[in-house]
Amino acid sequence: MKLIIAISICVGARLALSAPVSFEREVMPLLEKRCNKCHYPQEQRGGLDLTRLDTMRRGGDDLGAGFIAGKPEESPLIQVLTGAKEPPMPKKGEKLAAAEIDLLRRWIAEGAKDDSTKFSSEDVTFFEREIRPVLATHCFKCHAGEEAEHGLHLTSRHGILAGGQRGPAAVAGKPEESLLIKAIRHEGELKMPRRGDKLGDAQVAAFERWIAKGLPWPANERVLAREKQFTVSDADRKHWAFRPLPKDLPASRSIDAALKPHHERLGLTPSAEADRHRLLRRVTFDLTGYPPSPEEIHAFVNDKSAQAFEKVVTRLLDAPQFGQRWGRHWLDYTRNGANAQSNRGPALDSQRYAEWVARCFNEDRPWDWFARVHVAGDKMKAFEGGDYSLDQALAAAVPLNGPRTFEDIGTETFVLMDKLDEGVEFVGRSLMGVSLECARCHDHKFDPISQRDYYALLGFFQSSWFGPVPVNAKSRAEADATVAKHRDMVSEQARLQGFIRQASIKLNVGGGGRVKQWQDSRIAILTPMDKRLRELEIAVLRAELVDAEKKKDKSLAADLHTALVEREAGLTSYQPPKYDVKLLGHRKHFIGGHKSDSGLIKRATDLQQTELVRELELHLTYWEDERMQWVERSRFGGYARTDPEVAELAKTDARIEQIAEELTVNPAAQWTAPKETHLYVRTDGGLRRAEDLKPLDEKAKAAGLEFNSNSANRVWMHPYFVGDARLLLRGDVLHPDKLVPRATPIFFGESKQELEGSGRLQIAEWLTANDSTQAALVARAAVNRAWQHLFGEALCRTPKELGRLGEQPELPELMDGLAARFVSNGWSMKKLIREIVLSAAYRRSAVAAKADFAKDPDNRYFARQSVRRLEYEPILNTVAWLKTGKHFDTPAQRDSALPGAAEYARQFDGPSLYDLIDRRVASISATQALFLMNSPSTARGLAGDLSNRLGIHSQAALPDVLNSIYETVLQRSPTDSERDFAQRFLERRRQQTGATQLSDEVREFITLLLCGNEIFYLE
Amino acid sequence: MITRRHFLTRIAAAPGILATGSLWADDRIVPVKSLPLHHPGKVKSIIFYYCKGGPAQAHTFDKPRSVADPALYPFSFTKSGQSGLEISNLFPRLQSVADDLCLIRSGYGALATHNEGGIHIFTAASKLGASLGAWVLHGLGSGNPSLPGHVLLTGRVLGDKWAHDDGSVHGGARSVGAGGLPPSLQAQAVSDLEHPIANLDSPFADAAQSRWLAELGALNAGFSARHPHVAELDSRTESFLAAHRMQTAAPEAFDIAKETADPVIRKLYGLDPQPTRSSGTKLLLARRLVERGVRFVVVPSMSVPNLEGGVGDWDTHTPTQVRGLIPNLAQACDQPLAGLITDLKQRGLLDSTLIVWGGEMGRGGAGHMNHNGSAFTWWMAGGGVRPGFTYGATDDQGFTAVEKPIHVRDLHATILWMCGLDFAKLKHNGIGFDTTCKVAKEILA
Repeated sequence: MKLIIAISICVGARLALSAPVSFEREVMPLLEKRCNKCHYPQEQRGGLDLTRLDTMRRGGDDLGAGFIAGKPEESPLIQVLTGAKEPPMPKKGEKLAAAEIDLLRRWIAEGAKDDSTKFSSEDVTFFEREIRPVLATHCFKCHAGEEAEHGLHLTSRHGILAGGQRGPAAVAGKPEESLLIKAIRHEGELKMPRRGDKLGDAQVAAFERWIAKGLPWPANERVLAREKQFTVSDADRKHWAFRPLPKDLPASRSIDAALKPHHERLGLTPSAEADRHRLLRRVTFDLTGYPPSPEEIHAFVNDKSAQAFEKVVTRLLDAPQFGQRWGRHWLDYTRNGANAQSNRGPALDSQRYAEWVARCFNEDRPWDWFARVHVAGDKMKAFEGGDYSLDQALAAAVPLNGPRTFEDIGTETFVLMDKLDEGVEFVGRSLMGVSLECARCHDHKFDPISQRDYYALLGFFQSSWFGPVPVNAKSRAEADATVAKHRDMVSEQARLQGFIRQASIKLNVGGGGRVKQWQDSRIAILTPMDKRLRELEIAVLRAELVDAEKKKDKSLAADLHTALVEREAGLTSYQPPKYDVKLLGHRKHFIGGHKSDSGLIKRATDLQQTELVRELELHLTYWEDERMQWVERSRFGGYARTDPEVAELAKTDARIEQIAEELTVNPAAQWTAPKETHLYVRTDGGLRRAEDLKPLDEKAKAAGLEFNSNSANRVWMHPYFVGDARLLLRGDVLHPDKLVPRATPIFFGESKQELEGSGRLQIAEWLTANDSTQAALVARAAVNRAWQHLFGEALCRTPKELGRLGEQPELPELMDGLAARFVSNGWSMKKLIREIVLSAAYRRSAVAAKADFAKDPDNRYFARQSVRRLEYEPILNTVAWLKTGKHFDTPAQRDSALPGAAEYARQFDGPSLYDLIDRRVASISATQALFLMNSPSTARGLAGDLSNRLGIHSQAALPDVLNSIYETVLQRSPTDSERDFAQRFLERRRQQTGATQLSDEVREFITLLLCGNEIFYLE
Repeated sequence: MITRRHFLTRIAAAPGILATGSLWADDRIVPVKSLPLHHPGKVKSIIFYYCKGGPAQAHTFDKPRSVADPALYPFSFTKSGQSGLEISNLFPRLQSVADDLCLIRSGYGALATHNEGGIHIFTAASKLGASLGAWVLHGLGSGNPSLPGHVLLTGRVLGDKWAHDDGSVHGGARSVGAGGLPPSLQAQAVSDLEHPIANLDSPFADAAQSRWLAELGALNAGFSARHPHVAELDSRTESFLAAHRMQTAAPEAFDIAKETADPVIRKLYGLDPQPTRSSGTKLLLARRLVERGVRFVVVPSMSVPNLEGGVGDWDTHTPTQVRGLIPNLAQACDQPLAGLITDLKQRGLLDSTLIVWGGEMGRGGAGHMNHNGSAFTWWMAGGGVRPGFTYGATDDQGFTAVEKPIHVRDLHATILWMCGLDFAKLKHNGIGFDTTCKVAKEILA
């Protein structure tokens, strides 16, 4: 005590010399930093508001006035900080530093005065009218809250004066020296607000006046906002992809009409139309993934009618391979509809899904419908008629097939946030082409999506889950009933398990440890059997030793000898082991083998020890029976299942087994596939958050339900969740915050629809609502990708990021025109593709003059077609076609005719199952070359197959079959110089090798074409 | 018609696996001229020992000053070497070469999930999503046109009954991919140590294949003449020449029989004890590859037995995993890495080779050993790096990098700097690195 007084005297002595503490510049910022996250007007934790002097004087609920002027050690404010009074403060985070407490002490000692600058009411009105709205709508998006950008808080006067990492933002009275003014004038390197959202001149002038006046601020509201305030800026609204689609487009807005002015402006001469062979090759690959057959080539080349190309396009759009090819493009945005990591998502029937996707494309089902199905297909009418479609319910489950979940359903945080996140990511990236998932942890930095928006959307996904539905389900009622029954059975099973466990404990304890007594009684019985088993092992070892010696394997013999000595010694000093269920299980492995360890039976069999084998087999059964008995006894409290004392338990146990048989999916192994009779599809009713479970657990226990609270089954015991998601601070499952009502992102306007169940049907309908901004995004995303698949590059070259983070397209008006027509044509994908393919732009040659290439090296204005490598699927199709002469209807048929298809996927960049892919890689590597050159089944094998298929007999000379080879392999005729090349190839070959075998020459020439560049590229 | 000569001059330009025309003409292996450096750099090749799963800094190379939960921190540390670097006693061999190591204890900015973290740790600095290895190869050019310049070495040797998998990189192909750089810069993955590269056996005699390749070149020249602006067509033609050279160069490079007959080498790399058999072999192979001009070799750690049952990698969350796995994981790399450093030194190659040890993230937080992106430790040894040095520090508990924090992308920029490459000048089609990268000059030798 004396010491404290001594210190305060010292401090007091020093105080007198230094300047008085400033409330505005020192005390207030400190309170804001350390105390006012709880003690501000809206929250007033403990009834205390520390933002104003008068409310501080008033104090909180428990400790009375916050301070007593002049008496720091008697002021509760100081007492709770030093620990002199309960409760210790601050509640969260570290204690205040001694110097910080000292500052407050001095301020109180000096009389606790508020030295804040006083402003006239006119000045404050000026602030309220001119400055505050601008700050709130343009600045608080970043410069507010705990993690304000660059440490700058624009929410308070002292925050602005103190500034951030670049120093003070304003100097009172001196606008010209204020960084804030420089930034909003866009004078220097620092330009604020960011991303093209410049303030108007009048607004800038108002800020200048405001700073000149000394930054007037209302005395009763020191801090305007304590969290970042999400706002939508004009720049957001003006972003090309966030505008509604234009209406009443002039007819002249065709693709070619849209491109023409750009070509003229840049002085680009569009390339001529491609020659018919190359055009047909291009369009056939683009629309079906296969090369054209010789008959198709002849038909087109000889068709002199004006509609020749149109006829081809119609034929290709009607081909069954069209759906496969374009369905494949879509599958890239669904991770193949498969689940690549069996422990991280539902086991979906991806093949069935892929077939359904192909069917949708072939039948040209409207794209808006197709998009909706992926959100709420289980709740929509079947396209074919009827009120339910299993395929659609499967499609609705596909978005959640990603590999990112690392939370475990059995743990306390089992919300499986990452799985739900995939749902939001899919709606954003795959359907709308924007990055909604970026807002999981914070407001989107670039697009008008807030963190709140994200969780408002997440609620739709959290309210649904997967359920096993019979493959022949005909109606929604049937599907719902089976899922409900499944869930009931899982719940019943968990309950019964709990009942048995409890009852068993009672029986066991009541009988004075009945289980242990029974187990002890087994030792005497088991000992002779165990000894015999050891003898048998020794016998096997002996036989192996003899065998090793016979084979003169010295090191093995030495090892066996050591083992033998050890085992024999063990038998001499035999002690019965400590038996338990695990050890008995090991017996089975030891005798019968397990995984890579071969058991005694196998070892004895290998040495033809028939007698030993026979006896070991008896042992195997014996020990397994024993183990089953041990399991049974501990399950029934020491009794056997057939004992009358446990008749009721045995009945319960039988019911559990019956349920296990009836269940189509094991609830403890969430992600395994259901029985073949069922499919995993999307269904309403999701999982509950950990914090919701505890009260439910208590309720269940009170109702007499028993279950193992550590088991994943417990999750299924409770009613399924349908409701709103909780905002997670920084996106972390361990930090749940407030509930966010399910809604659509505010940028797109409020949705007034009444939610039904999870509300997914409503969000699906919202997604493609007529004339809406979000539907415009869905349409733009679709046409942008269609363009990409037909030109090699999309109009906006970041096809899953059309937002402000993505690339700005050169031709937004072309994209808008296409999208508007796409929508008005009933979202018909075939009509869209037809429009693009029939344009002059699509039909152009990929060959360009040097000058034109220099003007537009990246082909951003499409004055020529592109040269692009075929993706893995068309490469494989080509190989299959060369080998068999067939265009297969499905990939499965193709792959069964072509062993080794998987190797092509590895070599030629087959799609990944892990990501939403917006662009296929086209790698070039020496291993590809080795694969083509040296693997017997590729170029060489194929050359043989092909020459047989073309009926090239062994006496045919290359020049005579050159046409047929070129037509089949490259789908065109050889040029004169190519004929010349073939001739000189023959001459050089004969000269250099001395060999003249005609069939060898032909085959070798074919291998050149098969390995050459042209066959792998579209031009 | 394009002449053969024209064809030859056209193929001389590309990076990566691609070589010069003269090579193709007479089929001799000659060293390729290095690309011009931005500044003098020592490092010509990098061997990255990648610890899959994210090793806990507090168990390995960053002793925490304050421990709240001793059950999670069972390992002791020793000040090692003249430099007194504090290294866990799990690494007795690396302790003996402490004076060659540079410990970087203040790594941050990792992503704390495995798949994304793996991609991030190798590609974070690149705006093109290209991996560090691809950039090094892009910047330095191939050191040997007959071998892939960027290799991912996985697999187990025959007779390894200890490791439970071949080793892999979290994030898969993207972590060692070329991103937006030319695809030829992606890592060539080796998964079968017996047959490191598939399809090496040519059905033709060498001369016959050379003749065939010449014809292929001439055939492709016709197509390239139609599309002179499409550079990848030439790259593809050249990939066949590289493949041809690889047929002879790769078996020689991967044939370690002669070296493994030497008992000194066997001991140095730990080729006999089960726990180091495969990792030692891969690091020996890595040395052979960098000796032959390969620029970037990634050797990922393998899953190993848990002393308390089961198997696992560096993803050690629980006390059981910590106690049971980490000693084995450490053992698997301790001798082989120390041996590699010694071997490179003896061969005079340590000056031009950089060895990096690290995972995709760090671990540890209040009361747990879970993923941690805010603090991780890497160490480096060899050319370019300051030996016997500790850079940066974490807080007392080792949860957050506080002193001289170095972001993942800064680590990339620093490694490139050691190679004589300035991240700010490395570009492909005008796109390169995150401009916020910083080079930690203090750790440069």
